[in-house]
Amino acid sequence: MEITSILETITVIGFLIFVWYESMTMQKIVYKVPGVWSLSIKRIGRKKQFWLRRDMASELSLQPGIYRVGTGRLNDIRVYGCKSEVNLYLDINEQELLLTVLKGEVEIGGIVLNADASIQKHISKDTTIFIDGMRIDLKKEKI
Amino acid sequence: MLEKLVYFISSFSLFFWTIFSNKKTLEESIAYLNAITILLAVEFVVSIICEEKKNQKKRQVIYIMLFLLNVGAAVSYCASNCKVFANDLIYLILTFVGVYLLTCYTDWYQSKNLGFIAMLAAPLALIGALFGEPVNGAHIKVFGILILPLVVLLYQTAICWFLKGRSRGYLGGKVGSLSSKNIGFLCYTMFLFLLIAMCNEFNLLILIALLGTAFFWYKIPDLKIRMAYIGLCLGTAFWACKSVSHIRARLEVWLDLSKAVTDENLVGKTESITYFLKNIQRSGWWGIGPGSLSVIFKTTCDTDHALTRVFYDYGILMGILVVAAAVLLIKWMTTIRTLDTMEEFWTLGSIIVTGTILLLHIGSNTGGFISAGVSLPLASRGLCLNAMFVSYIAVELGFIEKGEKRNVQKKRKTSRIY
Repeated sequence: MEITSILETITVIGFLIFVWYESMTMQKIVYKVPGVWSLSIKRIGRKKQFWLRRDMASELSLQPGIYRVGTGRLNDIRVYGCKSEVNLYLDINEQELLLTVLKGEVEIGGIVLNADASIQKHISKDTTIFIDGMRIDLKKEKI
Repeated sequence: MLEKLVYFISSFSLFFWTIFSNKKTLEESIAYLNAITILLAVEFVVSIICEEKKNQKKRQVIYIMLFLLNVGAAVSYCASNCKVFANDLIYLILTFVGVYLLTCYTDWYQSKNLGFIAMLAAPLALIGALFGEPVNGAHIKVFGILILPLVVLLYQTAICWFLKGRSRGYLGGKVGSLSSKNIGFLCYTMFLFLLIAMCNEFNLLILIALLGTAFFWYKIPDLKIRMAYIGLCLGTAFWACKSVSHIRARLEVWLDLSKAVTDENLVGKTESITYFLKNIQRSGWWGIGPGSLSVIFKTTCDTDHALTRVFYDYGILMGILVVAAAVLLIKWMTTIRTLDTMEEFWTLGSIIVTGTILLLHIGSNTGGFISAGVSLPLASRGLCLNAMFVSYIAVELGFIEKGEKRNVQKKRKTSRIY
């Protein structure tokens, strides 16, 4: 067997092991950044499905940026448990949070915003909004 | 430990395999040895700095990068260009360290002012290229720098200006609709398309179209408007492709490969696309041997046709491994999530650009896509493009470093709320 054939075999097998090892040990890592707003959702009332009897609550820390909140799959923050389709658009920056309703109805402090609202709701302090029985608390985080 | 050992043995056996099978001048062999020594020195330094388990992620990408550069050195040696490659390596290492430190200690990618400057610089670079000498009918350089990596990086930096800050108004008064900034971005992108089409730079056109599409997908909440916007962006890019003769000729050959050798107007321009199909059987799993590639690609056999060289000289197995390593590099980029808007957008841009260039290279080397004339990431000779890839990796590593500093590393709670 020629020396080049041996080197060829060593190279290919060596790189094969290298690629295999790297692909096997590669893991996903998330580096969170401090949020400026936090969003927590609490469902009020009982759920019809037997496997959803408990109240659900979850909290997210949001960084500056744009989030689509809604019931559909393509949203950044997917809300489960609503009967009707609701889509919100949250534009978050350090000072305030801009809320726009794209679909459905949202209640903020007794005022109902619907999909036709072409104005953005400016929120600069802790606020609670209601979407179809879901309670969402928006709080400003201390950085 | 395993990756270190395997990398060490494989890179040396690749070196001796290439040297023994393909004897070149002493100067060229010394340049190849220099390149391998530099790469092993980097490996040695990395193995010391990133020894701990928590640094495995950083170590992984550097090893993949070194593996691809190793193949690049071998390919350049076969093409008698290893001296240039070895010189480039020093600049690549300097670029890598510079960008890494800059990303670790500054927030340059968050700067709106820098984004604004980049926004102005991108069209100026393209206009400057139009005054330069064309290479194979395309204006691809400005002041000796390739416009593809330059404009791509400027465009990505410019996105910050459009992504951050408030829009002054919305089309039709609806917030879900197009904002003034989005309309500005679309007009800006279309203006760039026009300039790129004038420069005949097909690859850049594709990259900008895809980066723009990603931006629109991210920025616009309404699905219908989003799709219309993306359609307009990609449609304009396609129109630009069709209207440029240099690109149209390649499209024609892609749609009918036989034209590459039968059409009088196209012979000599695009026949490289059929080379792989004609010669792959001769090559086999183990290749014909380093340095055996025909002289048909005299100037591009270590750049635009690097994969053809690997397939032909080193065999299909080695070719698959090189492609797998490049895919791993992209996969590595996808495994980093930092949850910061600009950091996420830079990561997305790195994935799109590296992935598209890899696909274009594979496609144009195997006849699967039009003859695009683009390098294989890190495994081709070419300082400008490799500097871009190295910068992407350095930026990602900088994001990891910042993420670790924030000390909030934990498994992602996806943004879904149950």
